[in-house]
Amino acid sequence: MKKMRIILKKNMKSLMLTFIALICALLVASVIMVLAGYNPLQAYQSIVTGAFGSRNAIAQTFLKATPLMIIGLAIAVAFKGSAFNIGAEGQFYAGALGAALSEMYFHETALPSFIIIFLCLVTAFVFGGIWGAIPGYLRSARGASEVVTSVMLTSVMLLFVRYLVTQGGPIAEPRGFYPETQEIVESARLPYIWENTRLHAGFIIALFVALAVYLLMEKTTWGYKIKATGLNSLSAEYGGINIGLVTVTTMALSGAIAGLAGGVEVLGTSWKLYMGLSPGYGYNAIAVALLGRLNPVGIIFSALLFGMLNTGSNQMARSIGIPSTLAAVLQALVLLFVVGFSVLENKEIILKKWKRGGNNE
Amino acid sequence: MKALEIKNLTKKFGKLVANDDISFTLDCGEVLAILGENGAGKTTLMRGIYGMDVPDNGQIWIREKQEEITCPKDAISLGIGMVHQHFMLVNNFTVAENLVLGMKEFTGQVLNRKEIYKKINSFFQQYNFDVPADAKVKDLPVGLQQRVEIMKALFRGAQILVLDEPTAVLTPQETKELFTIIRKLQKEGKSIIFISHKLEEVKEISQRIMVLRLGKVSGIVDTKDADEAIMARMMIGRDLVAMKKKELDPDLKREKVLEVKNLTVKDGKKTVVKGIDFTVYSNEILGVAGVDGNGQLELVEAIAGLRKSEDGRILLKNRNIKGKSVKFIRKSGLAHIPEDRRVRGLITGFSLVDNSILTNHDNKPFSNGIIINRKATVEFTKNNICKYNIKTESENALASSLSGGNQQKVIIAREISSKPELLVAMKPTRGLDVGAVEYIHCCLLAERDKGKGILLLSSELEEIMTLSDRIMVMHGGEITGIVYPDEVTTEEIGLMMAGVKREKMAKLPKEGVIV
Repeated sequence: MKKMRIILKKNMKSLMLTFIALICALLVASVIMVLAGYNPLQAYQSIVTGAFGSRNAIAQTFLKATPLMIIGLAIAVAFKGSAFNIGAEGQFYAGALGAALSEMYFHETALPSFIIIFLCLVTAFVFGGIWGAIPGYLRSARGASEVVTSVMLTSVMLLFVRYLVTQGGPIAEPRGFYPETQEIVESARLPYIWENTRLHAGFIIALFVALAVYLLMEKTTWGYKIKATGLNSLSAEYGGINIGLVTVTTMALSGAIAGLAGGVEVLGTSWKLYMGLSPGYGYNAIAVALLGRLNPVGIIFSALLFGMLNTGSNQMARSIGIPSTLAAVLQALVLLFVVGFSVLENKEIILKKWKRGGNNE
Repeated sequence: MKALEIKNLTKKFGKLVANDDISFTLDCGEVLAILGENGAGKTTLMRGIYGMDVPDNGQIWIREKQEEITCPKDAISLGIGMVHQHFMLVNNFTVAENLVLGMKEFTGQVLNRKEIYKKINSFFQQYNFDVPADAKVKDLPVGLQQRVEIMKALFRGAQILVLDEPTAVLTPQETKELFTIIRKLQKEGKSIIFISHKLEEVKEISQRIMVLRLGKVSGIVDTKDADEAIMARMMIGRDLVAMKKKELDPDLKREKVLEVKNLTVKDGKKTVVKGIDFTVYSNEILGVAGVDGNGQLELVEAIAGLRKSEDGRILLKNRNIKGKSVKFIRKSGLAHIPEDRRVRGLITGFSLVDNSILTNHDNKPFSNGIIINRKATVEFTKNNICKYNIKTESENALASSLSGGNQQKVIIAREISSKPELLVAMKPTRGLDVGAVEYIHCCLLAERDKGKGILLLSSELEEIMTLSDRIMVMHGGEITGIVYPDEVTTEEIGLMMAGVKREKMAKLPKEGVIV
């Protein structure tokens, strides 16, 4: 009972801060909309109906939330361990590539559908993991900031994928018409889970990942080590935790989960790999993770919120003619305020980190 | 004339009343000691007088005139000088540069170095202070740095000098020199507030003693009438239990627990531990005395596997642990109470339960190596809380919510319960109040009586003297002496701390048979 109270108390502050951040974002966005000559109330209403107004709208919201949720969880794992994985975008593409390649390898076999899907997702997981492990290794072995290297590796992966899928590239579709891979076979596609909508099993996978991340962080020694290293690496070292190893494995796991998102996207939503598969999921997911306070349950809801904003603002643009750039402004504001308020919550930690960094003359 | 008078000063931090209705006077040419445990409100009071924390209530009278002090600048212009526990000097500046720092009225807009050095040197002569004005502060020993701080205050025209725990960083000799300076200043009519928690020092230097307890004045007495037992009671609210070390059986069988041979440790490029040899035996507390920064921290880190060592060997129960991982060393029987509980010993953002398994989360019963056994960890923590009387809301409270003493108990409970062969304790009582200190000393002695080897490092000489079976003194990364505490005086240890080497080393414990 006492424990419950403490947990509630601990999360109350997070919830309040998040809530205030959202309100602030909405208020500021309202001002901008009024200045631009639109009625903000009407706009917000159309976002809500656009996101939840119909069966299809709801499915679309969930669909949009899926990759954000999985990558958000990936980022949460890394951030908990003070490994600032900013390169989830690249790991997402690495995973998408892995899934696409493995589908090409397996699609002619007569394996049952679920085995093909499973193998594709495992490949996506491994590819993403490798792409995440590299910056982790560079940090623990060479002291290179994972922020920089993971972003750089994102560019590498994006360019690599572009090379692979453009006309004449090794895995471009045979007609060579569009810069994309051939559509995957039916047996490799994730099944739909809601009749007459495009919502696929990826959403279930995302929820499953959330559960797995929760169990990992709360119940296992690995999670304990990740958290200990993230909160105070000197104490972790003193406690016999191999910090270098934890950093590499944390980044690898984070990359692997982001890669899984890429796999899910290819198998469930796009059915092929192409440039522009992700409209910046890897970056938006950072906001999702922060808005969810790095907490798996929080991330489920924040991903849904972002999915809703995404779907709803498209609807807003269509129905009342508010340009979607304004919707982008709203999303950016949410991001800005959430990050701003998260500083308030983690003030202590950030200050400490900064101080430590400043002492390395 | 009264140099300073404080009337009904109160300062609150949230719910905590740090200073509660404090009134006292300080005469010209007087040394007033302020005595109190950590957290009694000494430093808060001084910060109030110096304008760093503006009091909520109360008046400050200086030279019989009521004054408003809202920032240190006000205090300085009223002739109040403060020497903080942690020096406020710019290490890369010279002594003279530190003295004139921020004194635009003195230096003008453009610095004329020659002129400044001349003036400062003549100022130093006035006080017989023979440190070259162009020496960099970082190259000076701690004692001299402190003197630079005092000079800095005097240079700014201080009539009232506040010294916040000035002796904490000094060797006994340096303390004597400091006292000489204080007496000299006193003769010149300066008033001094001397903050300390060491009774003997206070008795030696002050005319009057004010004792603070829990933010309140628990008494002001003339030093000549002061009785140590009464002072202690005023300070901690109860009598001190005299610690007694158990006599050991002369036929006791002793084993080598820790053997350090020709160990060299570097910090960056600097060699900080220079080929030292010593042994810790079972049933023994080997105390290591020395001024901070003479290689003690690096020695401990090398033993605990937190720092690479260069040459030499470290054997724990005849097993090589040099260059091994922390985990391996702990498995071999090391427990370690680190110097700074917040930096190393605990994760303040973790609950007590999580902190209790910081060093043993991979071991049974706390986990099977993969899954944490929540039930076992909670039970373990609850036991520790009960056994070590840790004051906390619950075992799920964050470590940061505990007081320093209770945080230290969490660490000690965890380390001792790992059933170590060797316990390395660095400054285990730093910043703790007398009651907690007493408790931790008892724990260490109990471990010794159980047959463990203990390496105790501390900058409190008194702690080393009362607890140790043998004392090893370090200076400049070398051992300047290993002695039996009952065969030396504090002065002799002070000399060793200052670098004077002793010929005869007490290589073996006094009693017992080595096996």
